[in-house]
Amino acid sequence: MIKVQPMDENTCTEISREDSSYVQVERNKALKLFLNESVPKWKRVKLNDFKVPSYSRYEYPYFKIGAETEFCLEEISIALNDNSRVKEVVNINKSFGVGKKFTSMVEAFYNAGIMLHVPKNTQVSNVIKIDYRLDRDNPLLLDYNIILAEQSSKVTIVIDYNSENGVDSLFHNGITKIIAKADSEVNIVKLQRMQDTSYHFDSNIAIVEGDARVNWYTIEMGSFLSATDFSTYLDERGSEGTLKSLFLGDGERKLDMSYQMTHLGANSNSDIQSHGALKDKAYSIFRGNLDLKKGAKKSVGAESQTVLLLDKEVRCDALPVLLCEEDDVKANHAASAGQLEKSKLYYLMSRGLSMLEAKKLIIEGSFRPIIDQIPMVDIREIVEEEVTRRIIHG
Amino acid sequence: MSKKYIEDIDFSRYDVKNEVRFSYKTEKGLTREIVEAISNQKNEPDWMRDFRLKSLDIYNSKPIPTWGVDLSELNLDEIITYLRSDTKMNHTWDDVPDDIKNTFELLGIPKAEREALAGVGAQYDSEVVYHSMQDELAKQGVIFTDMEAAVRDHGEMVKEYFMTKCVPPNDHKFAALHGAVWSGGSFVYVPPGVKVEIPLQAYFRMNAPGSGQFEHTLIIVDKGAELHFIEGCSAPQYSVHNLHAGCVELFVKEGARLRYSTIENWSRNTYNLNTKRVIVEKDGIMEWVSGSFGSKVSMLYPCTVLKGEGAKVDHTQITFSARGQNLDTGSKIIHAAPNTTSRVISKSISKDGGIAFYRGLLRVAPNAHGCKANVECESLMLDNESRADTVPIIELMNDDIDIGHEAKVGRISEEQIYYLMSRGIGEQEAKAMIVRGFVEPIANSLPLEYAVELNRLIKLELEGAIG
Repeated sequence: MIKVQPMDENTCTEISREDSSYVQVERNKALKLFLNESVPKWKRVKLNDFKVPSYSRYEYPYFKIGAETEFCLEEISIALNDNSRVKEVVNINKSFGVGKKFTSMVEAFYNAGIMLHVPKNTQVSNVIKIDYRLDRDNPLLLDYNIILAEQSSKVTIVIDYNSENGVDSLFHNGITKIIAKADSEVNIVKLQRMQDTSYHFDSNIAIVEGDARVNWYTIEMGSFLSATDFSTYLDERGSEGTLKSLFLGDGERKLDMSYQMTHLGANSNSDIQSHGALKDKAYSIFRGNLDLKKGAKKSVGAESQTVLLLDKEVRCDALPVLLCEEDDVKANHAASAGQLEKSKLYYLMSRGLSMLEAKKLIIEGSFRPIIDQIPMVDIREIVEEEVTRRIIHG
Repeated sequence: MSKKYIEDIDFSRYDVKNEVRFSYKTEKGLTREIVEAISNQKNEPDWMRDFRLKSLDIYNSKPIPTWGVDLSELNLDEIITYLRSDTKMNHTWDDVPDDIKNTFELLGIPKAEREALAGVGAQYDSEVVYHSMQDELAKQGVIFTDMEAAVRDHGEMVKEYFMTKCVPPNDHKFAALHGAVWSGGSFVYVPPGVKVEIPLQAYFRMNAPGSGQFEHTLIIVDKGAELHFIEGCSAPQYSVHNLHAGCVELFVKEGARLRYSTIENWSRNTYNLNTKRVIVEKDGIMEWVSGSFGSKVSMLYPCTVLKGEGAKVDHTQITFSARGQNLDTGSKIIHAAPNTTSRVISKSISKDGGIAFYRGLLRVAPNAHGCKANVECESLMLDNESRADTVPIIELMNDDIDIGHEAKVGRISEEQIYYLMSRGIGEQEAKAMIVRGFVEPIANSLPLEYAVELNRLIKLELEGAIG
């Protein structure tokens, strides 16, 4: 039996009983915020009948501790209790996330998460994979992930949110915080393919130092409601941030995707590219924010979204915001939406393909530029299979 | 050429202050008594008086918008909402009092009327002081008159359209304010099939300090008819805040065509919170041409409802924001019928700490199949104190559409300057050429006199930055 209890003060005290006093203080700060905030309404993806879920433990083995010695990968609760090095990441004091109610929920009640610390000058050759699976015994995941890449290091990490089929009321809400020190590189893939009645909330922040890069890949293929936020701060000269997003909306899925690039350093670069397809009654919201602050001289920022609309009742909103207070920059944004090109469909069908096969081919073609950049072959295969399943058999 | 700064430039043409003489003005602020007094002064029918009072209730129930620009310094309790100068409506310039006439002469209105316009309405503070239209148009059944006369003489038509279908007073706080205290403005009706070939113009001049201007423009272009309407406005600079909350309601009927051109050049103490909207029926064509130069703060988003199948809108706008200005302008387009088309081209220039903001909404309703929409925004920043922001919202509710949006921001490209200079053009002139090229698509849409005016304004505004 899963022990189920409300997310309140008693539960917070109980789960924090064996923590260090530092962790207890941090959890309590977040708890106060969480209890004071009401559940947001959200104008577009309405959260009107949303209820905060009950707390339960998460015990699925989501990562393997190997024999690697080149970096440090630990469970978050262990890391926070005895690793002062990551406090810097925990204490990032910049705005991010899908909403205070959700980020404070994770900070007060996290029941999973990892700490990844890559030492100076270390290039991690293997891809680190975290497998967060929700199932009958583990219906609630509140993951708190911390990544610290020291100077001139490099690492690639894949976080896969997936679920057992046929289980209802799965709930994921997570936070990922990254600091990429000077000249380092962090590649991070977030794959979300939870089953169609799940809730998925995900808040991400990266602080990118001089000449460092953070490359986000976010692939959204599941859940009934998915709200994600990726906030990247290009703080120093030569900081670079890219975000490649792929999404597929089918059924009655609602997707709210918010991508923020804040340029503070000179010669900083950012690029947001989002490709998606919507069918059935799906609804997607794209919020791209390019914010060029004073001092971000010679910076270049770009954002674009392309959406294929496959059915009559889909809905697609785009809010590509461009804020600029520095003149010596180049920034642009573009958004487009439309149907599959009829001439292309006609061409493929005249070559003997069925309508569905032709559609699938065109959609894959539109996703291809992003799929090809995903740094792991098996993730690429999962994406391709999902597209096939959802377009042809869905 | 010696470097000139914007402060040195002679704006006197706009900055003529006349002695404030009035035959009637209200107290500051807004009460039921003031609204009733305005209605009594105008000797209005009961329906209009009731409408004003209903709008006042809505006004009192609505909050001041908290998004966008900062309105905290705007004290509505200090604004005089109605001020009638001591002259009547006139139909020849000779009857207009000398100082007022001279102001309009300096602004070039009578000259433009003689040379390029088919009719003019000139408003001074709260009331229209001069109105004329060519006899030829009157014979064809075209009505062009001030709003008060329209309420009196064309009551049924005004009652049907006045803030009922297009901009209801419950739209937002300033629409409600307008409904309560509106005064002056123009009424135009173009009968079916009549093509008015020369533009009509209305010019709005605010003279009194601390006052508000709330003119109402109602234009109905009936089936298959055509009209080009030009609106111009200005005010001298005062140290107290002025408020402009006009309302423009336009109706483009089946197969009709309307072009509405505006150059706004309010003084730097004016809050310009204007509401403009058009409803376009089947196969109708609407063209907005807007230039926003003046004011301290503007919130101005002309809205188009493409209500009939095959309706089209073309929206061309330029915003020029300098020191102390926050110009929040944009466009709202609702595709509410199949096979409708929209195109927006927006350009902004900001300098000396000015804020140029593009705020747009493009909405495609579930039944609006076969729509095409394209939005292009381009911002040019002339220095490092200024801001240029773009917030276009796109909401698509069906799949059979073709939407494109693009935006760019940046400074004058050094490669372009280098190229021109390598062809023997001086640096300053090269920069000026690039800016003129940047605004050219807008200048081309304007009638000649206004293109000249636009270029002159740009020249005045740019000399500080470009020398």
